[in-house]
Amino acid sequence: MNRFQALLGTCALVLASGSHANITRNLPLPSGNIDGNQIAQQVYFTNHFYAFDNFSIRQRGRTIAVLINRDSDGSVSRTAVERHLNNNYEEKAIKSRDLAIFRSGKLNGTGMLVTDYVDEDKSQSYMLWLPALRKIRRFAQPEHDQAWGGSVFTFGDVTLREPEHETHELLGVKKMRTCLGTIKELEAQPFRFVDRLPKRSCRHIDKDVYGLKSTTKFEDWWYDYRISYVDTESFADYRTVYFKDGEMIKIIDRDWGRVAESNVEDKRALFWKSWYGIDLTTGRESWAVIPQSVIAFNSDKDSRFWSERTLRRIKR
Amino acid sequence: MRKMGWTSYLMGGHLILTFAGTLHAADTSYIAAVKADLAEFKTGAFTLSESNAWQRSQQASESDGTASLADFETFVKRKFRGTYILFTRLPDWKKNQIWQDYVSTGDLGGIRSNIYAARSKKDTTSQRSSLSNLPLDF
Repeated sequence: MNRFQALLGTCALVLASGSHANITRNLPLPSGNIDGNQIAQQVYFTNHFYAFDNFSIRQRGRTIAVLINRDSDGSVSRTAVERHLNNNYEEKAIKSRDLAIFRSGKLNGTGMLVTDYVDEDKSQSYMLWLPALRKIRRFAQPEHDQAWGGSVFTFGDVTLREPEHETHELLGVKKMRTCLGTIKELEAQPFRFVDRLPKRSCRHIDKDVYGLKSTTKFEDWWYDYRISYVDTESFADYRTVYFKDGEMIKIIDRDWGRVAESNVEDKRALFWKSWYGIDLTTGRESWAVIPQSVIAFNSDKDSRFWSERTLRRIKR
Repeated sequence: MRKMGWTSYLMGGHLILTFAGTLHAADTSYIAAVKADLAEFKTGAFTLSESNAWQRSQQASESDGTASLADFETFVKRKFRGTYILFTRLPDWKKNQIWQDYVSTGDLGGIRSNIYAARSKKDTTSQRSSLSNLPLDF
């Protein structure tokens, strides 16, 4: 077990860059009849924030995004994370860069820079700033099925899974009927970093959603297939339900917001408001909450911000 | 089965070894709601107990203001009493714009600032600045 590698796992939720799907920022919105593969590509586009030149989940005063993990025995842990993504690279070699900085707990001051390359055969580069050692370490790309940060999400769930890793089937279109999940005991409670945790989101009820069944191509995988609810206009995936041997084993709900007063006309220019996940085999729950006030996009940050130099200058 | 690798050791997480297919103490009403919602893809019908708290009808007792413009007005009146007075003085198209913005973003703080912006001189100025060669008191 490599302790340094373990740090990589904690960044995954906020690091939605990096992968080698042949999907670019120029992916057009589909027209006419749409099939499962097209929907999967659009979902990938939305989840990787390709509609933005750059996108930040920053710290603003005492407010910052927080990840909460709740074990089946009720114990709760939390971590504050800052994140900056840059999709706007004129260099032909680099597709995007993503910087995450931990702002609480034992990992306070730890930073990670992930570089994704245009070349599909080139794996991602992971650079980790270890404040205790004051050194940068480089690592290989983590496994898809690896859980991260003690949460119920896997690297595949949040960043690494690509449309071509699964076969996709459109089940149909229907209305979203139910509210998105939360950790019930913490719902609407005062909480450090976000002032107060949100209530369950029922805003998406009655929106039209595609049912997308995605069957994994990996053998002996932890799930057989998953069904996602995908907004028919914005391609936000509100819910994903995982099945193994015919049994429901995991649910992930994502609340999405549209950037207000945006000059980004793309309907897919959305941001995460929260992620909720529950592993039904263990009862463990995870909830990532991103207050809208910490979101910034298309800022004039220089590309040099996404560099080793920034990692080395992180204050603990 | 999914690996619970080294990442679990950090962040205060605990290594979970209980991977047996048992359903632990999750919110059963939430699971039931998800199953009912999912079943609609197969059956074409959505059936869920009315007492289930994960559907809109159960949220109606405390509306979130997204259902309609009238619902939004009631919501603003309840949440922001002072701002509501300003809201009532806005033209319908501006009310509708603020409501639409809230529905799409879900931002509570945005309601108040959008109402102020809709009432403020800044808003008037920005409209006027799109025109040219007009006196300031136009």
